[in-house]
Amino acid sequence: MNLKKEFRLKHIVLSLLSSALMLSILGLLLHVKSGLHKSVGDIILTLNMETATANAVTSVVTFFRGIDTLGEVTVLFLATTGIALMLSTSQRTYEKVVHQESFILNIGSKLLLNVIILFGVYIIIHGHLSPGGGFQGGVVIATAFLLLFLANPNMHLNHFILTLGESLSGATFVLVGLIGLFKINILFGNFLPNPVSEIGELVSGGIIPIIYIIVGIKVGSEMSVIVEYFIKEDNKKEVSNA
Amino acid sequence: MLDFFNSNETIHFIITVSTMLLFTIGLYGVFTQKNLVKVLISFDIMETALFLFFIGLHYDFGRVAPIVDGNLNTFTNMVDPVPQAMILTTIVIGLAILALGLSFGIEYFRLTGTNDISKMNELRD
Repeated sequence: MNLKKEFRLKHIVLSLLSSALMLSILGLLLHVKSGLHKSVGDIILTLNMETATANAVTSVVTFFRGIDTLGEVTVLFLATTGIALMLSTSQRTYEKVVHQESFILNIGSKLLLNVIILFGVYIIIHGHLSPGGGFQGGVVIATAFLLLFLANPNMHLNHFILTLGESLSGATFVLVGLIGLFKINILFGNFLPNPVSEIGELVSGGIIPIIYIIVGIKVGSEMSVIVEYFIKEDNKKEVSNA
Repeated sequence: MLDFFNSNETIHFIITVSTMLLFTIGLYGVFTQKNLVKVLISFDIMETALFLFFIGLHYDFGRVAPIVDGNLNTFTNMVDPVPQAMILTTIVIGLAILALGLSFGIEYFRLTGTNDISKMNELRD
């Protein structure tokens, strides 16, 4: 008993010391702020008026660092591919799960589905005006499908439509970047008219809302596929146990 | 009395100490847990601590979120938007890694029937 206590204390002290070391190194790095020079954030904030986007974080994500977002979406796509590869190696035969139909859950999930998807779309198309955007709204849309799966485990998503939406949005993302490159010589350049006087309106900011809508479609379909794979995996285990 | 909290140093100190405790909890889980799923979730807790630390240290007292609305017409006196955008990227990648790791864990459990990391010795010889 005493040995076990000592062992646990050793782990606690070790984790405390390592986290203190790590955060102090990071804190030193973050606190080196020179008063003379402007930081990148200040320069971006002064430049941000030209993009005519009300949300500065959105313009950093989609415009100033657009190629980072392309890489991020690629990472998410690769992860989805890996999950599909991992969880569908054996022949997937979805046995019917015997579950008791709960009337309230069934009707409530169908009622809530539209509301949740509408909320996700609202978050996506207001990404350049308010907190939110493509990634957040896409995950909200995926939660709607999670609710459907919880209510009815035998449901299937239409994989053709999901794959089509994901591929088309990914291709459109690259295409928007390339049009910017050929038209105004900047990759992900803002080639659409973006007058500063329209700041704060729904149609403003040039390509920035378009990119976030594309990202929203892509993230929503990818997250729905991930949710479906994990839920079906759970079903399969239950069936084999029974 | 609560004016004590209205300074950058106090807020940054509170953020540093609390995220250090959260990071410690995650690291302790990585050290002690035997279940693969619990180890992955501990890694996610550590990630969350780093996100909070990054965002928290870039908050300066008296500044507002970098969004223009009806009352604010210029991008002045706002917090740095770059760390928030970078952490958004990091959150999405962390989610992708967690989902991929969980799927690897599920596949491992299906092949071997165990989830205990102390019994994973397939590569020992």
